[in-house]
Amino acid sequence: MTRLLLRKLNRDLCEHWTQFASVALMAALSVLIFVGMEGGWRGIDTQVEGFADSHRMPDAWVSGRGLTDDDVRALEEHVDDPDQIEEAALVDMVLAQCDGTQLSLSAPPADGINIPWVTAGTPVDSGDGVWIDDGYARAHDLDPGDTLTATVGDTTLELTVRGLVLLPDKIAFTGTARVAPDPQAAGYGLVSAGTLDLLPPEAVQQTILVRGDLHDLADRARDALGPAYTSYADRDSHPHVATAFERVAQIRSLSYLFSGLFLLVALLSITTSLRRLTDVQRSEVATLKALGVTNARIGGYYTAMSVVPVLVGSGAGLALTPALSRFVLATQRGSFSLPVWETDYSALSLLLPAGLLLACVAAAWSATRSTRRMSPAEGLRPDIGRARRTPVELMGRLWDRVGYGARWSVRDATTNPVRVLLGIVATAGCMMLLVAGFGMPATLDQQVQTSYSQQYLYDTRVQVSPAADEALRARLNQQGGQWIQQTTARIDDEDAPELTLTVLGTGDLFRLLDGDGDPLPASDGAVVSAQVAHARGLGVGDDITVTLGDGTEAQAEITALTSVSEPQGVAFTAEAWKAAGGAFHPNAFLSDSPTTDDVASRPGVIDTVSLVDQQANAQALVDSLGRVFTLIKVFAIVLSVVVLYNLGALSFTERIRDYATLRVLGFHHGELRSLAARENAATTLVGWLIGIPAGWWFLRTYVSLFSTDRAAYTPAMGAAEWAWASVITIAFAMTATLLLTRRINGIDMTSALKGVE
Amino acid sequence: MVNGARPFLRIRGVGRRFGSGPAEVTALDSVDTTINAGDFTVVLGASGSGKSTLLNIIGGMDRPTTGSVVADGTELTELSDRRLTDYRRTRVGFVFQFYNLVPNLTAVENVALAASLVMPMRDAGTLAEELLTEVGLGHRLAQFPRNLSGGEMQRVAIARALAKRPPLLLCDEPSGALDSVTGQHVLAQLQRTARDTGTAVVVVTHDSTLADAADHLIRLADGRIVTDEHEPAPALLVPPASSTAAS
Repeated sequence: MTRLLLRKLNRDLCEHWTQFASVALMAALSVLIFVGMEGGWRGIDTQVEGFADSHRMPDAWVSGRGLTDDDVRALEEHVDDPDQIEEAALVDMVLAQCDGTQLSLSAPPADGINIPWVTAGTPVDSGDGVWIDDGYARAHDLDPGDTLTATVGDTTLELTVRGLVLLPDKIAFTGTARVAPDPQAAGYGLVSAGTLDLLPPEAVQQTILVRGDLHDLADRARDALGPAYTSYADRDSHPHVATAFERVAQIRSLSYLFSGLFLLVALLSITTSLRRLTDVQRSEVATLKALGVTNARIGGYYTAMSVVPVLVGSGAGLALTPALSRFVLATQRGSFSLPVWETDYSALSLLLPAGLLLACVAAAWSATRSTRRMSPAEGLRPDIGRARRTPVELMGRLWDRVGYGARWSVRDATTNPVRVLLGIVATAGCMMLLVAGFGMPATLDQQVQTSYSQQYLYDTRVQVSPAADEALRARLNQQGGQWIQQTTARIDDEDAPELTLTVLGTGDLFRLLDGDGDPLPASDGAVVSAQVAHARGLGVGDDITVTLGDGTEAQAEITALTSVSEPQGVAFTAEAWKAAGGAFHPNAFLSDSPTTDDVASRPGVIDTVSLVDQQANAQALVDSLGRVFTLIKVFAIVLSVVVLYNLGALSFTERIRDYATLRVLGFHHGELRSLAARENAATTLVGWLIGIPAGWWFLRTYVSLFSTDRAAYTPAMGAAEWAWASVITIAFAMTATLLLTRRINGIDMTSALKGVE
Repeated sequence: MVNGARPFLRIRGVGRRFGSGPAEVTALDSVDTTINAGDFTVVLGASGSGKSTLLNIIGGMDRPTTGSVVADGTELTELSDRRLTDYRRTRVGFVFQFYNLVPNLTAVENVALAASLVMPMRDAGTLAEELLTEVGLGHRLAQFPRNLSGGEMQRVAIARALAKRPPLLLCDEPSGALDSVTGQHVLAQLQRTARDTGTAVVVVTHDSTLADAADHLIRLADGRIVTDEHEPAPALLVPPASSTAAS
């Protein structure tokens, strides 16, 4: 018996192979997109965490001026719990110029914190030479044994490359004025303390690296270091570390959001397909019952029929996931410096196919339940077919004008609301995914365009050391431009993350923009970022207290909100800042013309970067995500085609007897195709219309997840993006319809009318 | 052929084979006959004798492998698919064993659907109501097929077949799914249609009791015509006095 049922199973699968293939494909895609993307982001997450743990990435960075080892000890003694700080070490760092690039040179910290990972050359020691950033070395074709020239002010050092390294606290090293790593323009290196001593002392920046419990550490550090304290950062705010964690969170959100929607639509479609595939075998179930086959065996048989395609699909999906995961990893390789790039999967990756299988087993079992409960005689009786009146029929005059063919279509749709609903959900889901797929790059592109063409109007940004002398400032003033001060600060809540305080000197090269992208007029109060204001419940007219790293406070009224993406925080004009009680200490000069080499190499100049380079760097970051969004678009299209085709194919199977009857009555192929296409056209239209607001909501949701404390994004969809998303959704839905309606030409009237099934 | 009767269909040397090689099956072999307008033709034969195949071919639903079928002067075997559809649309009415009503159209809509293929929608609706009243279903116009009994459904199917006023009415086991009393009603109605409207009615059945009622009796066995007789004075089918199924 079992062998015969297996033979029947095989033949059933062959007979309805298109539907089973669709189910298998949807199962494969669901597993592939969820597990594949998880393998990518979790791989990065695991490697970041692993590198951070094994090489003891600091938990906090406390910066200051004139720090000594005594300050480190003072900090350790100042915390409540002696065990709170596991390890603390003072690190000196100097920014040097090297063949037109920026090289951040620091002394290796004490063992036990921020341990370098040596990828080539000799282990790091206290000898001469430099261990440079692995990515920078590859970008500049440097190997151990080569030499490079580092210039700081008037001091030039010839350094032999002794090795290549990766530092835990520079996994997303961007230099000083870029948003994405660019090893062509900036890198870092480790040199001995002796080598650092050869460089101008005014160029040295100091940071205490801390591993341990961060509770109250920021306040304790301020108290312990007194006037020497300048700023505090943890893993959520340190620019060369936070970016990595933020990116992992962004891809994770993207993965969950997109695959969640995909999975929902696919699961609905799979379970509906299986339910209906077993529904059409009503008389077979009755025949098996009449032959004496038990209900359990019949239920088991049809469950097996559902399990096979889901099992095959899930297996194929799992087999393909490593390729997708590696693709996701490859898109991010330029954004992080990690020693190992490997995929990683959680138990969820196996639970998902198992859950999918379970859902399908339940659907198949319940699909045959009513038929199994039926007596064989009932089951073998011809099924006349269901019918239901539609609400449209209440509008008598309108309904009277509807042709009989159209009435058939409308009532058929009303009789099978789940099928219609699923068609709408599939189209809307496709539209949502495409809106997000087109909208995210558009959002990021617009942010880059707005930032670098409307917000920033300078030619070159010159980062200046706080210790820069008046001669440098005078030289820059000759050039023409605008001074600004940017530093970390807290607004009101001391426990909230630090934000950026921007104080604008005279000039119009740094603009604060309103929601429409227009510049805000100069204000005599505080201008707060809209996202920050929203998060903290602040509004125009509220008073705020801005606390700087050294504890000085300024109080002001919020006079406007700005919608710029970055920086996130509070901004003042220099006059307003002084009026609020602050002191203007500019640390960057925005030049309206290119700076000359003599400016870039002056002591006190930390970095110079042109706006064009900054924009290219930001665009590279956007482009690195572009391929992931392309992937989302492809999956959206496949989803809509497969779901709509599958639904259409099932409808076709269910209606084949009606189509055959109509053919016999004298309906032409074209008339039947038109009838068949109407329902798909209607569901496509409704799905598309629902997909527009739903897609916008989906995009906004994702954009809000993409935003961080340091950068806010506003969803953007231009007419072109809406048009593309709409055209693709409708075109592929119509393609599915076209493929199906062609099957009408192949209807064999004689066999279709022979029996009831 | 009966003297004076107008031939509607001329069937000459019609053969139909399915499959190929060792699996080839000959369903019809060298069938020759003529179907007259106004005749109540009964095609008798056991299961597998080829009677449904013959019905499909003369109804333009299938094409013969060999031979010629001329309907009212038109050679069906040479028609394109589109013209063959037009032939079914305007010249043929079908009644099936399992009714083949469109489940989500009401009785009147099922009939009007067929009528609307050859006349404006408003006229089709009016005609559908008239025809259903004629077959005794004037009170069941707005019912869906699943709310009708087997006999009622078959009468809707007959009304639908007649809605186009076709010169040829083909019925495949029209009483096969009905109880005997209801079946008698349906068959009597078909015989009356042939006599009253001059329609060529062809009924395919394995029920030999119908033989006496046929103007023209064709017996098929193994795809060949065994007998082809015209009866000048066939018995008139009389529906039973009462029937719950047909009422």
